[in-house]
Amino acid sequence: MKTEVNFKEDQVYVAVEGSIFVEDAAILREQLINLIEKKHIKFVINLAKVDFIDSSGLGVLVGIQKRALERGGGVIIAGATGVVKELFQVSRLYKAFEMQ
Amino acid sequence: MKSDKNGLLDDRCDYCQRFELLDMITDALLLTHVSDGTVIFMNQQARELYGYSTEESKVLSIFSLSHTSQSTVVEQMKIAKQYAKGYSFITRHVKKDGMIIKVQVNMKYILFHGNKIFAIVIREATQEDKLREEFELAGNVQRRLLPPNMENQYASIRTLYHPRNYVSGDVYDFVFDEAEKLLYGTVMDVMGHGLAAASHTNILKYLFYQTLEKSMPVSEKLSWINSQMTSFFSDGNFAAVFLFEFDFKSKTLTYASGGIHRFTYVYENNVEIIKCPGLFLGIKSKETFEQNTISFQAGDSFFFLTDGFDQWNPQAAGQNINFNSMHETLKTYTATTPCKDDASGLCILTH
Repeated sequence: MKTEVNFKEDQVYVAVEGSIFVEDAAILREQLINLIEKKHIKFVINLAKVDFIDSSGLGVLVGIQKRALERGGGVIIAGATGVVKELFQVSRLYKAFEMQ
Repeated sequence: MKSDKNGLLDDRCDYCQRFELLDMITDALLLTHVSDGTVIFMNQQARELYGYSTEESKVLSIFSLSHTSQSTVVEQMKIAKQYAKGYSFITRHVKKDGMIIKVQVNMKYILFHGNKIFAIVIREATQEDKLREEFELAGNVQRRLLPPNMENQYASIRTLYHPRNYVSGDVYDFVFDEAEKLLYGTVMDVMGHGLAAASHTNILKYLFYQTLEKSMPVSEKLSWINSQMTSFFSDGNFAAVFLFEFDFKSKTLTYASGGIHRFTYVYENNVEIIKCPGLFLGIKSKETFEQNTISFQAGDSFFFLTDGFDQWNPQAAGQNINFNSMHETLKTYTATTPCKDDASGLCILTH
């Protein structure tokens, strides 16, 4: 898994690439929590180049969403395709995020 | 030097410099006979660990050093003979002064100058070893709390439980109501792994048992579990839960799912993947879930699995699609696939 973080105005754009399994999820979590601790609360997480995400990865996204919402921000999931998009649909997680 | 029955003590004289080399090893090392466990050689570290002199060490055996029953030591020796790479375990040994110590033992069955012996490396168990032992114990407890395979006139149930590390965030449970001819069960997958996830499974299992008393549709039971568990799951933790109920009077299966997105249904040599969408539990406290019912016939089988089995191919059984062959492929899957996740499930054959 690779991530690229960019900042535009008050939004943080996180582009993720590869597969998100347990260990990757832990890395992603640390990265995102670090950003929240630096007072960033609005995230656009781009999953266009993610080919697989397991429940640990989804847990990270849900956890970050909860923290961001508590602080008046939120997480937008962008670019999900294929099995990742299907996973968001079948798990009804689109109810928990704004999807783009 | 006196010769023992295998001539090893003569060897020890002939090769005494090799034994001196073993004294340079920083771990405690024992060489013992396979037949009776008597000590052939105890290196300096081991003599220091146990408090024996070289002369005293000659009358010792692995049985006198162990603080477990003779049958346990025999069992450990038997297992060690089966493992080419050596058998590692935690046990208790006793020093010359009577002090009992917890030790990590690595026992290997080797050929030494033509004789079969055990080479045994011993080190005092570290905090990490003790924690590992605790985890193993917790894993055994969790396994014992799960219902075993079941067989009756209505169904055969084969269980699958494969923790990634000692304890699992994926569990299952089921209860058969003989009077009503109902089989009510669940497969659960708490996000994450290890002890935290395993602890959450206990909450879910408790809630599952609570629903046994509730006279409501399966989907409402799932909603109730979700509403109750939300307070226990914070910071993004959530769980996938699949609830099912087989009614053997009407031959119907009713199910509702939150986060376990599919199951496999096998009937008349067909394999069908049934999708069951639903939001994970623990995310929204007032979520509602879909409920579906399908009819089945005797001989149909169902495979309810957590996502640790996601890469399992139900077609792997080839032409020979039946309950046993598919259950075998699932068992093989966990034995041969690198384990990235906990994996549990229930395989149910209806009669």
